[in-house]
Amino acid sequence: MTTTAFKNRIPGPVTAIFQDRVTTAFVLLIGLFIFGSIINPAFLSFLQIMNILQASFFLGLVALGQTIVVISGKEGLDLSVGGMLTVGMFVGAAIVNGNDAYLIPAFLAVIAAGFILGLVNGFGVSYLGIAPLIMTFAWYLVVMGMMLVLTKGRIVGESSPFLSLLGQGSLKINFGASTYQIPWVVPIWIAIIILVSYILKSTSIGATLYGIGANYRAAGLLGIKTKRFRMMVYGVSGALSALSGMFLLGFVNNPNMSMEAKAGYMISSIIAVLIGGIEFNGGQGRYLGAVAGSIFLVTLTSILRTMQMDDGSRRIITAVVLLVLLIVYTRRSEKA
Amino acid sequence: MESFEAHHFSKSFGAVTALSDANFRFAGPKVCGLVGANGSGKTTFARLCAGLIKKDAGEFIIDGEKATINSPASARNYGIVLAHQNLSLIPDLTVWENISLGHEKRGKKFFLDNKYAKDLAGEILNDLVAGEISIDAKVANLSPAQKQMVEIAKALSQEPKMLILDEPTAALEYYHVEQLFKRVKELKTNGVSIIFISHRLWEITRICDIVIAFRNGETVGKVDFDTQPRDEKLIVPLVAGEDGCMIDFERKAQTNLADSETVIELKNVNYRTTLKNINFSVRKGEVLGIGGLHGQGQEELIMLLAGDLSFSRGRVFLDGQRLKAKHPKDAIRKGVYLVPGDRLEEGLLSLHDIFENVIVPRFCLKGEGLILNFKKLSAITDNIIQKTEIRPPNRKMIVNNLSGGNQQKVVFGRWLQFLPKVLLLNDPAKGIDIQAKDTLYRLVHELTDLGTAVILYASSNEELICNCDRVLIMFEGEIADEILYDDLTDDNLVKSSLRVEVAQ
Amino acid sequence: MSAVTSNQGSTFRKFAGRIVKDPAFPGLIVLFVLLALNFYFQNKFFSYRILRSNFMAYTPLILVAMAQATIIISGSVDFSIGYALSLFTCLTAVLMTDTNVLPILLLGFLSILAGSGIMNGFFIGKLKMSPLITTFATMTLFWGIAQTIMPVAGGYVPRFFYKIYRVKVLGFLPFPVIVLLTAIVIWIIFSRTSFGRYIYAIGSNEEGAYASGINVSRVRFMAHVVASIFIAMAGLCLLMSMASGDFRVGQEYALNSVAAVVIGGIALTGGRGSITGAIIGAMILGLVNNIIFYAKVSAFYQGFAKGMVIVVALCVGGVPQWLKSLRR
Repeated sequence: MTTTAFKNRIPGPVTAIFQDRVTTAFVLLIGLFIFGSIINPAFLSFLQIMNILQASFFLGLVALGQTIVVISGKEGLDLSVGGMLTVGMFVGAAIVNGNDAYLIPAFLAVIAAGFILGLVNGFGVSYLGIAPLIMTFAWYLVVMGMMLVLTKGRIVGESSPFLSLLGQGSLKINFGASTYQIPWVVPIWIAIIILVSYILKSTSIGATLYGIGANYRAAGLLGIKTKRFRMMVYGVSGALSALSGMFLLGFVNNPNMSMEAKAGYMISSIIAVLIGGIEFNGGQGRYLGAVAGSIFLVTLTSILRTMQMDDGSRRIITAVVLLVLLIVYTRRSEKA
Repeated sequence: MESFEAHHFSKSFGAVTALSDANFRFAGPKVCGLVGANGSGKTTFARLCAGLIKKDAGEFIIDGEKATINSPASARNYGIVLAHQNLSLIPDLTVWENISLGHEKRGKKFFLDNKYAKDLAGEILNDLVAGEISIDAKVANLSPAQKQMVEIAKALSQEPKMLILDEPTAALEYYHVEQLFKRVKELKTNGVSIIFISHRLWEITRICDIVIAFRNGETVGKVDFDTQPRDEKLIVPLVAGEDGCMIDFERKAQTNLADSETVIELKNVNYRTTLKNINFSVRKGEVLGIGGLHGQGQEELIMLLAGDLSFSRGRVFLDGQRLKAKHPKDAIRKGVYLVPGDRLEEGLLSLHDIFENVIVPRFCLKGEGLILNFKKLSAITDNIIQKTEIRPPNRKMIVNNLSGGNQQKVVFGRWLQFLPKVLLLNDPAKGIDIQAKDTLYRLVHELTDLGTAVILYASSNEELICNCDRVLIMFEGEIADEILYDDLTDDNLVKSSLRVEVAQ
Repeated sequence: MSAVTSNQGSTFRKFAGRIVKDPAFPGLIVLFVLLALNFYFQNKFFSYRILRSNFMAYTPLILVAMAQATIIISGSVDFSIGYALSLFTCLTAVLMTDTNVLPILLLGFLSILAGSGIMNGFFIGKLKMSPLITTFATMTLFWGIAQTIMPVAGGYVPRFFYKIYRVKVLGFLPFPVIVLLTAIVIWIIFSRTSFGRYIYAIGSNEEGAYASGINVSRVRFMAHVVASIFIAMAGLCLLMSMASGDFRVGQEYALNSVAAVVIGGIALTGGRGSITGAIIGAMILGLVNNIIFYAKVSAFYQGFAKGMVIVVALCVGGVPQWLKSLRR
């Protein structure tokens, strides 16, 4: 829906590709895939691509929350996503506990829990004027701490058959002579992308979100209840991360508390948003960009794993790739 | 500075050309006025001279030699200093820290000489404002007028050879302006050249020696007061172009309010310590002006009616019913619309296009669905663009790229999609070109013909006189006086604002 | 404390007024309260031995908070501080032998200066990259390098070297306090130069600072470099305190440094606050840690409790703002 100032120049075809941020993100992604296939020719197989898409879904859902928080402006960020994800996993596991009958209540409870926890972030940020960076990070500590207290480090509950089917199973399509397996999360994700893009582009909710991100004060004077809306955005982000946790439960069957992995979601979702061309000042950006960014990151990790690097080296390469991307992206914003 | 020349300057920001062929030349020391409509490139030119932005093309020749200015520091080397509204003040630092910022003197041991800085600050400020501002005050706590004076003091402390003042008087009280003009004359005597940029032609004719006019990014003319009379009429055609001459600042006819009902009424309204005991009413089709010196509560009154402030005591009635506007959405739902004072900060979503800026106020209305009806809303936007004569007439234009006048047309024009009951105007014509101002007020009067009640605060007396049926003068938060249509003259407005005896 | 008063009026009144208005003042109150609480839970708290061991434990945090404060005041932020510390400990512990202590320390210092100071400063100051994400990236980089150098905690630190940490200088001052005082002196020197004022200027109003002729890129670059001095000092203390290298130590310093700064009254947007605030903030975090430990809070609750303290501190700081907005 929104355009940025630098779109006013009339571009040639190649520059046109690079000026649209979402397209750039996908071009980068394709480039990475090509690189991956050079390293390992089996990389470009349908199966491998589907695996990557499946793994990217969970990050992608978290990145959606991050996207709307960043768009909402005033240096919006949600560093608590890892915590909400954990809450989603454990609450879901505790309610479902192997029984499909409780699946729907579990989904509702998970979304509600994530939303309410997210509202705390929103309240601190919107009504108490605390910087999102520190409010969400501090709340993350509290939420993780709370989870540790409640679970005492034990694993409580597990996924149900249908949930695991959604998380791990695939849709089988017969096309021509062969059978293609598409993991269930992929069409789910596509549906979410379409729904979200529609909401952002064609409803007053989306326009309000971009509005408060672009100019909080002016939006308020134009009748938008900015404080309340902004708080809700953080609530929604929490709900989305929790929801992702629920799906993740289906993927791994048992909830876990790996701190490192949760911190990974925090950083990765922010990076996915960056790659997606969403400005951290707020007021602009498309979720599709963050989708590309999520897939990019998961692909990168996957490539580095097949190169059999140890943890430390993988981190170094990831960091370097990130720095290069940053340099390029910053240069481009400067030119605008 | 002996002589200053700028030849063939051009500068573009993306698709917007700010300067296409700007030329400037004078032999100093003189006070050189720079005039032009909004968007004519005056501020861009000033910033180029001060090294804040880089040119696309052009050449400076200072005192006969080619000069390269590509950063504030290099401009300073040539003695060129710019004082622009609130440009370079650091809110969290004190006045004296700000005044010496960027050119601090070192003490004996490599540390800063703070005593020197404080003495210098005290001295310069005393010359300008005679003890009104404490050098230890944090700039964030000063009023806009005081900030402007500190900005000027800061420029002066750098001992400029050429001082550029960009709209220095917009925020100042008249007595500050007197002091400033005194200083400017002193500077000229001491060999300093001054470029004085202003919309206020009466100030230009008063203090300048020559006047150069820009229009659409080019130099279009020069008036030399050594050889020509100090007459505003010589300048207006240069600023406005041929069409400008057609604009007559005529007074609107007094509205016949005999059959009009009261639309909005304030009873005993108070807001903290800023507004006391406000009582007045406005009828359908009436234009009520709010006057007085800056900062007497006019802006707070308007924002309060718009729902932005919550008042402690008193009541507001709209069409006889109690209006409790705790949030702008309450006001908007009842048909009370605001055109705020600062269009970029308060009125526009700058990175969005005209379409988005127009449709946003609809979201708080009951009955507006969630899903946007693009067809209907596009038609509404195009209609507004047409009525307000926005150039270029493209609803997908990012408002940031529009000129000031066109931006203001968006801020104002968005309300034309409804029929306003009450229209609150907070200095709507500030800083916009003559054509835009003309269009704006024409539309306002069309609305009053349809029954809208208008409350207008304008910083220019001429606007109040031309457009209002009567004017309320505010002083220290209270309504101090009411001037009716027949008594509405510049003289009376000034005297009443200053609380001097109004001539009978 | 950066503001300077004019010469009129009763000096004591002015001085007291200045202290109360300083953004770190609420933190000072909290500090006193915490000291009292610590005394309650641990009778011997004010004994020399306990005080010294507290300084040994928390000086790295205080130094790191000073570094973060410098950066935040200048309008930037640095998440890589924690893992820069990790890198320091791993790099030095892996290379150190009995004979090369000083050269290796120097190497450590230089690598922090180069990595955390110059690299971050270059990216954020000169290339104008977003500080948050850039430091996420450099954090990952330092993490990766530290982990590669020393995948498992260990390394070697000569005994005579790390014993210095427990030494009493001049008979009564613990070594960490000396390091701290040195850092404070360094800060005071910097704050008296134009650099000291300029970091406030660019943090408060970057365009205004540029228009005033300040070289914003250079000042921001220098802010990171100066901060890296404090980080290196923190690394030194940490190394002596742990007597080994461990890439995981950095994890908690990232948030704690930012939290300390915020608790100390320094605005995250920049331009406001003082180094005293950062020191007070770090001390508060340290004391809270102590209380949680000595109040015998179960291990599971510790993370939760620490987080809650920070959240409560933030909310308390935010309430005045909320009340103000209600009155609008």
